Amino acid sequence: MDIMADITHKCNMTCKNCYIPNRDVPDMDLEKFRDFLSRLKGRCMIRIVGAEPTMNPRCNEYIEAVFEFGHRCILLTNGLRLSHKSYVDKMHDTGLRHVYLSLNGVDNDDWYEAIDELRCAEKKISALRHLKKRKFILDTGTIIVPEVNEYAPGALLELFDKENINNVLMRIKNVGQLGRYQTDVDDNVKLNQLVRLCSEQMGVSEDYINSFRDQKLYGMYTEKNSILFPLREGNKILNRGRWVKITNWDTDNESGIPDPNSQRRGRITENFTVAPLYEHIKINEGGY
Amino acid sequence: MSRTRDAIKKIAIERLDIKLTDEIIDSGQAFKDIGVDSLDAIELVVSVEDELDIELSDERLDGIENIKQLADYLVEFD
Repeated sequence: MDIMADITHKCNMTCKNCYIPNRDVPDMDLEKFRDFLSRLKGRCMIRIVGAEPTMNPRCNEYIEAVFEFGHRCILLTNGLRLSHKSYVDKMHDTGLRHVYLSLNGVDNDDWYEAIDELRCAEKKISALRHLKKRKFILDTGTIIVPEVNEYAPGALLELFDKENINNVLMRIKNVGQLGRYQTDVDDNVKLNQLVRLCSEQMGVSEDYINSFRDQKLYGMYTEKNSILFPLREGNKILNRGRWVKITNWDTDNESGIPDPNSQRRGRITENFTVAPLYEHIKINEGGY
Repeated sequence: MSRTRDAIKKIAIERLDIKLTDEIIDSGQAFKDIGVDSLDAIELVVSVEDELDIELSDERLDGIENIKQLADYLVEFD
C-alpha cells in the first residue's frame, strides 16, 4: 500500500494548484508517526509529503523512522531546499534514495510564475544536479496548465538531455480540482490530450502510449486514470532510462475526485489511521 | 564466491528485506514472484551500482525480468 504522510502543512511556495492549501494545521507528531509505522502490516511505501515536507525541521527523522520500521520511502518536494547540497547530503544520510521533484515550469521562469507564483527555475535545476550527483532515484512531476506550459513534456526532455539525466520517471498530469486550483474541469487538459502532447513532444506514437493503458502498474495495480510507459521500448526496469506516467487528475466524474474507489493510495489521518487518499482530501478540503 | 552475487544478497536483505539464496537466484523466478516489485528492482540496480562502484548499461538491462538475468549480467564485474 501507498501511504501519504503529510508531515507538515507549512510551505515555502504559494502554488496555484495545491490540494492542501490550509497552513494552520500543526506538524505531524513524530512519536505518533513512529507508533503508526510500527502498527502497519507488511511493507508499505510511505510518501513523505506536505504541503512542503522539508519545512518540517525534523523531516530527516520522519524518513529515518520509515526505514527503521522496514518500510519504503519517497520524499515529495518542491526542491527549493534541495537546491542546497548540504540538505541533499542530509537526506541521503537518512538512507533515502528516492525523490519526487515538482517541475511544473521545467526550466522556464515564466511558467513557474504563472503556475507556482515564484521564479524558481534556477533552484529547481540546482536541486536536480545535486540529486543526480548523489544518484537518487528521480521522479519529476509536471502539471499541464492550458495555455501556459503545454510544451512542458518536450521541454523536460531537452532539460534532461542538457543535464545528462537519463534515469527518470516523468509524471505528467492535468490539474486536479481539489483545494486550490487554477483550471476548472471544463477548461482542463483531458487524458487524451495529455497523450497527444506527450506523443508529439517525446517521439513516441499515440498508439504506443495507448498500448500501455490498463496494464498493471509496478506489476501490481491497474489504474484507469494512469498510463505508465518507457520511452525506450523493451525497457522493463522502472526509473531506469526515461519513463513517463500520464495521470488524469480531473474530477470530471460523479465522485468529484480523481481515481474514485482507488484501493492503492491511503493517507494518514489526524487520528493516525489510514483513509482513502482522494476521498479524505475531498472531505477535509480547507481543513486537514 | 562471487562478489556481485554477495552484493545482490546483501542489498536484498538490507534494503528490500528479502532473503535471497543461490537457489532462489538460479531458479529464474520473475522479480515479482520473489517479492521484488518494479520499485524494488530499480532500488536493487542503483544500490548494486553504488555498492560495487560500477555503472550498468541501460541496453544490457533492457528486458531483464529476474534476479538470475541480473546476476548473470553482473558476472562480468566479478
